[in-house]
Amino acid sequence: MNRKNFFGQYQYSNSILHSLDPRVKILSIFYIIVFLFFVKSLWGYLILLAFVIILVLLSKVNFASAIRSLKPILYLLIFTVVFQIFFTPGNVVFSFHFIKITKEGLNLAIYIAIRLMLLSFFTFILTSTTSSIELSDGFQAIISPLKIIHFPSEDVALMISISLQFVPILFEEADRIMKAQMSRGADFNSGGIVNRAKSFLPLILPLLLNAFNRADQLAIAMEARGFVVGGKRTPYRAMRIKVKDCIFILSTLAVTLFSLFRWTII
Amino acid sequence: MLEIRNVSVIYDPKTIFKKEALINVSLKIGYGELISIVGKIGSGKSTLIQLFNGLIKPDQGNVFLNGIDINEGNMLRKEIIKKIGIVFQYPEEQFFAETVFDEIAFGPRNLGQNDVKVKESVLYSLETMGFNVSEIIERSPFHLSGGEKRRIAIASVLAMRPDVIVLDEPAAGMDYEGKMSIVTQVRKQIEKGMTVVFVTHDMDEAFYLSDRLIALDKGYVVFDGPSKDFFQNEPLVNKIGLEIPFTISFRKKLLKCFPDIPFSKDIDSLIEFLSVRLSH
Repeated sequence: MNRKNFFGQYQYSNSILHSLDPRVKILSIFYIIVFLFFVKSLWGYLILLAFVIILVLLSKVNFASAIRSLKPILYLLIFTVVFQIFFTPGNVVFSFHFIKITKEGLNLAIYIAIRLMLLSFFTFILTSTTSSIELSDGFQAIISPLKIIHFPSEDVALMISISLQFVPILFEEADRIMKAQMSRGADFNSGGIVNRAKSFLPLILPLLLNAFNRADQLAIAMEARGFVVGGKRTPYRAMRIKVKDCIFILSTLAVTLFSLFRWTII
Repeated sequence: MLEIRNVSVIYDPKTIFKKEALINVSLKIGYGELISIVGKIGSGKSTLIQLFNGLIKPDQGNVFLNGIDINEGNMLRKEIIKKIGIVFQYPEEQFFAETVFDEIAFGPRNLGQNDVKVKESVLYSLETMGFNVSEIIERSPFHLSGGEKRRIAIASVLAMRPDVIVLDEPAAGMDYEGKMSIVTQVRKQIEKGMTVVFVTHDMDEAFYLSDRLIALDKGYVVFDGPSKDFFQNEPLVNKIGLEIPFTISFRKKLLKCFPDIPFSKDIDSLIEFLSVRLSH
């Protein structure tokens, strides 16, 4: 029996991708995601797709879970593709009554679908190979220069860190409450949209109340251990850029530039 | 009535998180039994009780309710929960309704009972759990004391009038008074002939309340029999990391001076024996 994994949940492994500096991973993946919007050739996308497949293999994470990471965006993907196919003007390749499919619409739909899938895959690589602690440490290090302009980078990083750590707890709690309400006859899977939405009230309400209680307890526990907002803190886990991080940065740059290079030639 | 046959549950197979929660477990639960399920954390207790009403499906084996496999699809979910009621740990954390009435009525309404029947079920369960109905029925469940909340949570499952009630750590996190109040109410259910299954870490509670005991260790059933026999098998109790109940260890110490001291589940009767003996 498989326990429910939510999108991008960290998967423990000793792969090279897991051991990379979180700052490098965050910035590289962010760079690739932004870059995705500048690629406009199928060739470029194929290179990036090959790159993400290599990364999944290197990360030793479950390949099926990488495919499953598309599930949350499946409806968005279908909606976007259908919208582009039927509503993009251009050279008509097929028509039936008022329905017109254009060459430009088909091209755009394919590009957008691949772009969304790649976006999901690259995000999956980041979140499945980086623990929540590493993510928050990395994020804190990245935004720390903003302290110069009095941006509370440490507090923001702490908020993100706590939120990330609460995600699996909330999922477990939701599962526990769901099972308890199902034992009292609650049915979360049948009925129309309105009935389904109503049936989730016995799940959402206790979940929210418990989350607020937990937040209260956490705040008290932190204050009891001397936490002060805006206090000066030193990191316990020191981060250092190593050779493998440089190789990862260089390969990311090479792959993205290569895909762009071919696009300008074609 | 309820039969678990050769059941195995493995969480996350083929991953590094693989955990064999239950391994080839077989047991039968009949009408009017009073059973404790004991074991250390991670021994498979919670997984086992979730099998009882089909909340999880076994990877291997079958779960039969009155001879029908509950995971085969022929049995309606409502039919199952009507017969097997489960009260999970810290059940008060699952409250959502504005009043005690609505909170308890949630189960009976889901079973499709009409308003008259729902009211009847709510009143029955509140009375059973020892509440003054008119005092509590319109109050918010969130504003009750810890012990009252726990009893309301148990009442919300009792309102569905199940044949079997499974209580997962019913007195966890409660003070002595609250614990005793729960224990007293549960004993009343037993007297009414309902099958009660306790999941507990508290060996005193397990010994005092149950006739039959099922001990789990690392997913295996290592003992299934009279609770008295289990606690007299000290090597086994120690091996699976559990404690001997106070009543038994107290009696054992007294045996040196009073070899004829009777075996008792109740500490009061031991004290009474002592007082009679010492007064002579």
